Amino acid sequence: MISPTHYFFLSFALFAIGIAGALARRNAITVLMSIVLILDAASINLAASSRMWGSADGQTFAMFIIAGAAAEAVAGLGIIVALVRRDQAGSTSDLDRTI
Amino acid sequence: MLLRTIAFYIFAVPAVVCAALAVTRRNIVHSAAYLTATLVLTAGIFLQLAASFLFAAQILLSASATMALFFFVILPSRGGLRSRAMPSKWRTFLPLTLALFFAVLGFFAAWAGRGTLPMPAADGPSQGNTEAIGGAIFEHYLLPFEMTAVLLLVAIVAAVIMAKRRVE
Repeated sequence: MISPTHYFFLSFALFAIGIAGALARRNAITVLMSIVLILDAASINLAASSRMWGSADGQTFAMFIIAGAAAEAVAGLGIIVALVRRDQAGSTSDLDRTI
Repeated sequence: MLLRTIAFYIFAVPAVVCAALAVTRRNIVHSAAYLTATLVLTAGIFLQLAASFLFAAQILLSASATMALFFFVILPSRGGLRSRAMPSKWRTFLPLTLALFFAVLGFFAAWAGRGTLPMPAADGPSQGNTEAIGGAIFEHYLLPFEMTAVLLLVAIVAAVIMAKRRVE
């Protein structure tokens, strides 16, 4: 029997992996990918809750999250491109010196 | 019912494995490929949750558009993405502790709330899903929707400016 708890566990697993990657990795692109994972976990949670309550509101917010993730990827990758062009470095450890 | 459980694990287990691989791989191209796999598998999860519109949006936006973007950044800047700072020990220890804390916290939260609200057993074709979302957007969440449009425009302009500007 599948229950909303299954989806919540999946969401928490993806969220924890994303948190670990966003904080532990220093490659800026990997950090962005980890943030995408976190947002993905949040949309799974919202979609499962939406199904659980029988309402479309959760799915609506999950759609907003997908749009926000796209905007975040565009802006973040723009920053990375500028950073790489400037001094050939794409690590978050170099950000404090370059800005 | 058993079929649905099997279908859930077919999508969920590879999604978690691919997410872990995406975060841990050193090769950034492999990492992006694994992340794409995770996003596509998540789309499968959405389909099981009868969220057909989210399924389409996830495939179109996350899995194809975002990943194309990642590859367009990764491929021209290969070799430039190298850290010059020395790694420190707490830099890896602290995030893993934090992630474990969140995982345990979420586990207990979900465990405490298990069985309170069962998943509806309605299995029919989820017609009207897009219609319901459209109604929710244009009746209740019109302002967030318009703000999302402005946010995307700002992101596009910011990306163009940062990619084109010459820094002397």
